[in-house]
Formats: sequence, structure tokens, C-alpha cells
Amino acid sequence: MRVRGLARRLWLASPWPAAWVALVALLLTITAEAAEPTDARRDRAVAILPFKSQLASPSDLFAADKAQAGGADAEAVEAEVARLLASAPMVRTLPVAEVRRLLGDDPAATAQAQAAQQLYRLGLELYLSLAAARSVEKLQQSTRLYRDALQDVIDPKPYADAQFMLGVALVDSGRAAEGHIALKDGFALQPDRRFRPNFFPPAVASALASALTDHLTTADSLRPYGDHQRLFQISRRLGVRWLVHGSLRRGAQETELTVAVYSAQRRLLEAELRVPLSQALDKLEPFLSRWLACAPVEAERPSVAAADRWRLDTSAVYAPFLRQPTRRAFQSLGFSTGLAHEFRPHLEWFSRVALHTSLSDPYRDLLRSFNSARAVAGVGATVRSGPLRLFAQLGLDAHLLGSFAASVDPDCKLFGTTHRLCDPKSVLDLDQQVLFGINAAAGGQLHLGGDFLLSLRLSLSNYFLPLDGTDRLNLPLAAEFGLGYRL
Amino acid sequence: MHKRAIAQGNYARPPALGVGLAAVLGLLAWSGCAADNEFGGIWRGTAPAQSTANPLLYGPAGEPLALELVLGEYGPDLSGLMRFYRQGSYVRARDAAPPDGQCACALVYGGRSDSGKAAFSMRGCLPGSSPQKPVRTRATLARDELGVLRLHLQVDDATSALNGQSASIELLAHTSASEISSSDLICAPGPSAGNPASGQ
Repeated sequence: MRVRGLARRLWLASPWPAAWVALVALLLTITAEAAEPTDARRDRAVAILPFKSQLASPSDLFAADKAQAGGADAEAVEAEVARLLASAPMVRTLPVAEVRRLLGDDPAATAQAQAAQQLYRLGLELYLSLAAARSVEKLQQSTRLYRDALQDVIDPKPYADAQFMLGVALVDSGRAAEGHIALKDGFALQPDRRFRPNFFPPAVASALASALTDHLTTADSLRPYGDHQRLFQISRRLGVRWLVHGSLRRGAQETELTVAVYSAQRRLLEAELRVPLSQALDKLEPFLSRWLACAPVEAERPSVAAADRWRLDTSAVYAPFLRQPTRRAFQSLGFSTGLAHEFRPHLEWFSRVALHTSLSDPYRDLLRSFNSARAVAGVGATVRSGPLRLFAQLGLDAHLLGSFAASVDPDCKLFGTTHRLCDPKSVLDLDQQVLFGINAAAGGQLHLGGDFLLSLRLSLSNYFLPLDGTDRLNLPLAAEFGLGYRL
Repeated sequence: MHKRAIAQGNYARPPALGVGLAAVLGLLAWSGCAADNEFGGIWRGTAPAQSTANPLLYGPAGEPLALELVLGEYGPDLSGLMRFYRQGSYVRARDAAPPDGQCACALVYGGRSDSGKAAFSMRGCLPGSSPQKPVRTRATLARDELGVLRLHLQVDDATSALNGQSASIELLAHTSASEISSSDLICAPGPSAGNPASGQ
């Protein structure tokens, strides 16, 4: 009966059983992850973006049936780069197909692309119903969404459709300069795009030809996917540290290949190669070898985040009980000291001891101030972001109360709890009792420099033993703030 | 750059330490503040000499009596007791505890304070009440326009010949609430009749 009562208190008396379950599940997940063996060094993750062929000719812009030049060559170069990287040591390569699959499988990107497609269709309908201004607005929204979804990497065709349609609508609206830029951006997405002859009015056809000429003349072959900020966005989405991209363009005498390697860590192009396409097979291998020789192999854990370190902290504590027998809250203040050891990546055990002094409430329902000692121990999950280390902890809490006695009867307060006027039923006497329960905490440590830390910890306990007493005094909330040191 | 700065510890220190210290000190100050204690403590008063003696505050021979009110104030709640003395012994009793008499003490019941006023009931012997037996008395405490605390007593006991009698007396603070000792709280049950405080 007593065991059943205890179990019931453990589960139902807790105001947040779901939170306990979630925290335990998190700890188990992290434990499982942490238990997996890890290499001391991490493979260099490199993604290959689709190479772009800039070999289109303005004269072929309206020759829809003419074979597109350079597409096969670009794919051949992509394949060769993938082969060379795959054979290199300590390199994890994401070939173009894998890059497209990873980005395309992202539900958020898919939703964005679907919304962009709907906006494109709406813009097209508005354009056909001669509402050019509103059409421009919808098409601009569509291209923004396509860009955010990285659709130019996944499949540039629908993005380019919207971009060209935007340019056509702008030119039709008399906004020739903006239309020119929009059309030029369209060719940046799909340089080998062809159009049906005599489909567009002469002004639009002229604008298209002009935009393609401008693009082929001025496009930066080192940045076919935009600036470094956008490359950084792509690398983060893919979870890689390097991107390899390239393009083919007409040179003075023959087709020229440009290959560049972007470093997401350094946020710049680390290496670039410009060679005639005929020499690509000979030049690619030494180029990639030279780059890989200098590309750092990342240690599994940076030294500052090294596991197997002990942390000691001393904090001031403010620890009010959320459930109190008094009519007005009494406050508890004190000091705590804690020791934690990260025995596996993202997993630590911890122990803390604290001394609290509880001061009487304004109505003095707490018959006297009392001291208490508290010990908490358990395990925690940790994550690190720069100088900030966050943790969530789950543990057991033992709280030794001092001379705790509370009553709302004024006669007990003035004459004492043993006086004939004092109603014994009004007195909660937990003198020298030990309360046992579960403690959940979250907090963070900010690295101040050297081995010093600034520590903040918020915790809440739920006592379930002894069975009588904890129904009126329970749920101590604790805010701890102090300084720590890494041993 | 950032990592190097962190490693060297040469970035701006957050003012959190100072803020935290101030917060803790503020919390300590706040948590130490109790509600106003306006009536708690030991109060004493003596009935003025007058020609028409009031049976509540004067002895059988018309001699003025003294009283001592011991009150504990806990938020809106009051608890305490009241003692009566013959004035002569009252003066002596300042140094000689316990005070004279066995029935010179009545306990406070149902005491409440609110907005500068306090009210409570007592059941016990009253000086001058004849025949001497416990009666129920209502009492109120309030400050007059000069800021002097006045105790107003009124017998509310239909079985007593004193029913409806009232008296008022000026009180002076004698001891603060925090200095009330256990000896100040001795109030042994009195006899069902007799009032030594009034000389009977």
C-alpha cells in the first residue's frame, strides 16, 4: 500500500510528468550517441555543386531545337572531381546527386518550393490577364522563395522560369532596367536556356538577347551560386566545410574550365583553377591534391571543449519553495558548490551541496528562521556553442531541514507550540526531517577566459518522501549564480 | 578571431557579476522586510484619577487601576493577554514579576488588525467587576488624533451585571514586539470568582 502510494506520488504528484519523460528520453538518446565509438579525427566533408555551362550563344537563344552545348562536358568534369575526391584520404564527398537529394529532401525547402510554384502560377495568370504590376509582385515573391529554398542547386528550371517571367513582366511594364537585371539573373540560373522563336514581342526578345550577352560578358565564373554568404548558407544546409563548384565558358581560343573550392570555416575561396577544358583531366588531380594537402583535418573535439574535464563552481542561491504552508512566501537564500565531470561527449555526472537559510515570512507563519542542507546528484546532457555551454540535468535530491515549524495560529506564534492555546493541528513540524525527491535543472556556463566560468543554474525538485509533510512543503525552485573553474 | 579572443580571455567581461551581487543583496533586503508591526509589543496604561469611578478600571474604593497589554501581531492576526494591577503594586511590578494576583490576567481571542485599527475579545476577570467572575469583553485599539494609542473596552456579556459598561484608557509603549519574553506571557488560569487585583 505504501509502495503504491509512493509510486503514485512519484508520478501524479509531479506537475510535469511529461517533462520528466522528455528529459529521460533526451539523456538516453545522448547516452547512446555518446557511447558510439568516434575517430579521433573527423573526415573532411566536401560537397560538389552542379557545374554550370556558360557556353550558350546569343545567336542560339531562339533556336529551341539546336543542341545545347557544354552540358555533357560539365557533368563529365563533375564526375571526375567526385572520383578524385572519393579516392583521397580522410575526405567525405557529397557528389552532385547526393547534394540535390539532401537539399530536396528538406521538408522546409520543399514547402518553400511549393509555395514559390504557386506564386509563379499566380503571377503568370495575372500577367496573362494584363495585370502586370501585381504579376511582378507575385513573381518577386516566388523568386525569393525559390532562392531561399536553394532551388538553383536542386533544380534550376522552375526557379529560372519564375525569374524569366519576372523579367518579361518588368519589361512589359516599362521597367526596362529592372527587367534587364531580372533576365540576367535568370541566365545566371540557367545559362543555356533557349526560347521559342517569335513567342515574345520584339521588345522582350531584344531584352532577352541583351541580358544573355550581358551575363556571358560579365558573369563571375568563380561565383556561379552567388556571394560567399550564400555559399556559406549552402554549406551549412549540407553540413559540409567545403564546397567545390565550377563552370565552363568560352575562352579566347577554346572552352575554359573554372573550378573553385569554398571554405565555409574561412568563408572564402581557398583554391581556384582556370584551365582549358582539354587539359582538365591532367590539371584537376594536382589541383585537388594541392588543396587537400593544406586543408586541415579537424580534431574530433576542440581543446577548449574537451571532455573528461572537471568543473567546480560556487554559487549564491535563491531557493523559494513553490508549495509552502505559509500564507505569504518565505524566502530561502544560501550558497552552493558543485562538481561536474563530463565523462563522455555531451554527458556528465554532477553533484551539488548547498546550505540555505530560510527567513520568516511577513506573517511569521514560519515560526522561526531555519537552516537546511541539501545534496543533489545525477547526470546531465550538455551542448556547447562558442563560449557558452548549456546543460540539462536530472538527479536525486536530499534536503535536510533544520528546525522547520509553521502555523497560521497566532497563539502558537506568541505562546509557543506547546501552549494550551495553540492548536496542534495547525502546526506543521518537520524539525530535522529529510526530504527526498527528484531534481531537474537547466543552465549554462559562460567561459570567461582562462579556466574561469560564469555559471547560472535553475532547478526544481519534487519531493515524495516522507509521505506526510511533503504535501504542504514541496517544489523548491532554485536559482544559482556564481563562478566556476575548470580543473 | 573569436576563438582566439576566448582563449586569451580578452573580451569584455559581462557586468553579470555586479548585477548578480546587487540582486542577491536586494533580495536579502526584501526578504527581511516583514509587515508593519503597529500593535505588537507590551503596552501599559493607568486609569486617571477621577471623581466618578468606572467599575472597569477602578477598584471598589474608587482607586484607579493599571493595565498591561501584551500583544503579538502577525500580519492581520493578533494574540496576547492583558493584566490588571492596583496602581501601587503596578509600580512595584515593573521590577517584581509575576504581577500581583491570580485573576489579574485575561487572554486575547480572535484578534485582528486592519488599517491602523485592531479589535479582539477577552474572557476573564475584570477589576471592579462584582461579583468577580469571568466576563466576555470586546476591545478595540486605535490611535487618536494626537497619535496616542487608546484602548477601548466594552463588556459584552448578557450574564454579567457589567454588560454594556465601557471604558477607555491611554496606552504607552513599554517593550517592543521582538523583546517579549516567555515570562511576559505567563497567564495562569484564574479562579472562577474573585479579583485580587481589585482588592477582593
